[in-house]
Amino acid sequence: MNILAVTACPSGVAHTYMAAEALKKAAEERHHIIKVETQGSIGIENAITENDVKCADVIILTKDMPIKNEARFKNHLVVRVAISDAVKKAAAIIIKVEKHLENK
Amino acid sequence: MNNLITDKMIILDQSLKTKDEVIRTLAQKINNVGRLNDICKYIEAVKKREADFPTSMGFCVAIPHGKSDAVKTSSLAFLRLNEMVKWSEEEKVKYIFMIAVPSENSDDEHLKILAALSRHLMHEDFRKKLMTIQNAHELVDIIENM
Repeated sequence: MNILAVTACPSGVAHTYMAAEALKKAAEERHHIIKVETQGSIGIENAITENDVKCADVIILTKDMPIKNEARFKNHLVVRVAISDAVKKAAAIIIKVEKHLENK
Repeated sequence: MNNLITDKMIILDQSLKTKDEVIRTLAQKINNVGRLNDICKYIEAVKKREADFPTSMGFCVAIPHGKSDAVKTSSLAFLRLNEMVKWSEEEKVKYIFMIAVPSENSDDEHLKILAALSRHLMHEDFRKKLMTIQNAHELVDIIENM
């Protein structure tokens, strides 16, 4: 799969980055391509481009905070997850998305 | 620039009984080095964050944090407990990083270190290092060379 994700948490100090790393690690372990944009206290990093969106199979967004520029993902498959789940259960999230796409 | 963490903000192998004690002990360490304006207000911010959602992240690690104008300088404190302490309904913790960040004008350099630390915590080899450090200086080194 070609996965895009955006993470953001209320203080933008820690969970944004823990979730980003957890999703990246889990996706790579299952041999997917992933790019994670972080919207934290140091601003937007690793920004997702229009081109990235074009070739994405699925977009994972954390739902604890409004995601900036969410409109760029309309007409795409978007999965929303709690940031704590992204930190603790990233592998399960990736597997669930895999199954969802297989059954489509 | 002040270091984010110094030897004085690290406690290794202490026994505490409750989450409250852990939060107070770490806040006191940050306060002792003059990095808080108001320790009570800071503790309140940390507890509010915990009440919204506990910051235990699995692997026996918790990262209580407060972003508040009660914080003078971005700081990080670390506590390694001898025995686990109950942190939430589901989780017990042994390794605690407490983060203090001013509500405005936080130093970008500090925030970048905290972001890097958060990412590193997701990796087992990094967590193993935390379990086995012998003294405070080793941890300062690890954080500075992340």
